[in-house]
Amino acid sequence: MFSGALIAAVSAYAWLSVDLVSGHVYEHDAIPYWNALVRFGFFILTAFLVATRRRTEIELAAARDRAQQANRAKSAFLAGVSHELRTPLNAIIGYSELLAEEAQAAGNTARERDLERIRRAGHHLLSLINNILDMAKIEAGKLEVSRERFAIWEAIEDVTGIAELLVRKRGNKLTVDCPEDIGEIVSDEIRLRQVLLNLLGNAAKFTEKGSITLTVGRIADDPGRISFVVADDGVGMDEGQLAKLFKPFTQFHQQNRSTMVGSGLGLAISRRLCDLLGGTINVESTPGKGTRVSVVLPAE
Amino acid sequence: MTKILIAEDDEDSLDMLSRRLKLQGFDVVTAATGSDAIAVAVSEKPDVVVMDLNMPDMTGWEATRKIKADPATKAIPVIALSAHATSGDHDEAHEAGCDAFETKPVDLNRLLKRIKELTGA
Repeated sequence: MFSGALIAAVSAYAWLSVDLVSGHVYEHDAIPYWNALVRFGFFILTAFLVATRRRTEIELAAARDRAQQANRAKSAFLAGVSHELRTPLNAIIGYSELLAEEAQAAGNTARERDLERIRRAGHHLLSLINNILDMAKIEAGKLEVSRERFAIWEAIEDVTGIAELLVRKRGNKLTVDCPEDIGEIVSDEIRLRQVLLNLLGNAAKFTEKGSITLTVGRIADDPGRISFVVADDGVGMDEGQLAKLFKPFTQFHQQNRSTMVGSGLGLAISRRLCDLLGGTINVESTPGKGTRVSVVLPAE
Repeated sequence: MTKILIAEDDEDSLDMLSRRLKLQGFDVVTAATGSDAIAVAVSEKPDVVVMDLNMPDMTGWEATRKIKADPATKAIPVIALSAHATSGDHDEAHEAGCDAFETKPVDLNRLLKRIKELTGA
């Protein structure tokens, strides 16, 4: 580009001072020519700058396309692998449950604890795989929710049954406060269960010998919205931890433990799900006092 | 005795689920393909069908559509079973005429509750 400008400038000078046909050199009043030359120079310079900038833009767009393509390939790969992992896992979980049911029917309790451990480890692995699958879908913009009418109280009863086991593990007490006549909601039942189980699981992880409560109700001045509040009196979080809370792959150390548990994706996924369901999720926490997470969803 | 038809192509899942439901006192008949499921639904007249959605020859959606289109079998409730908990599957299952939707791995208590609701047994 620069050499092109140089050639243009040299040939312009030659044209100005030499008669190309005869080869005679004429005397000119130089000023108008210099004026033209300077303008021409500016033109070349501008063209050069525009061309350089355009080339940078094209390169950037190509790099962006490559990155997007790589990200899509990663998401597709994760989705595929996660699905393949679930099939054998379904057999492991299913057969451990079958064996436990057969043993119970036969009155044989000798292997009950071992079978329960296999089952629990299987469910843990399944939830990690499901989280990775969900995160891949979020990144690909493909996470979707369905809408259908279901009874809130029944869904909460289901969630409580599963959460009870989680919560009891660390000596915590679970209290559920949900009016039986709360009525129905139009939402995604599977996803609502997922969000609530995630919040209850987190509360149980960061609370020891404490109390965890799930409070469900219609908002007093807006009965068209339902609130689900999970509160604990566990270790709580400071401002810095709160700020990072919803970022994917963020994990905090558990009390008295150096290992991390979980994929670090639960809250990032929960927030996205609340968005998709047309609701909100908010966290308040005081270090040493506990944490309160409230999810508000539209009833219709 | 409530008769359940389980349509499932994966051998392990079929074996596991049919044994678990027999243990709960159900009469269980099985089918390993979608077209098989339709034939067994006609011949065995089950009280409820548990239908895997991802079968090779004929998907569970198609098999459900056919069962719901035949006057002889259309009254039989169908519970869809899917390995992906995606809402796409869920909505499609509803469109095909499935009466309920459950995900794998099967939560036996939920499945029993669905069977009870749908058969009144």
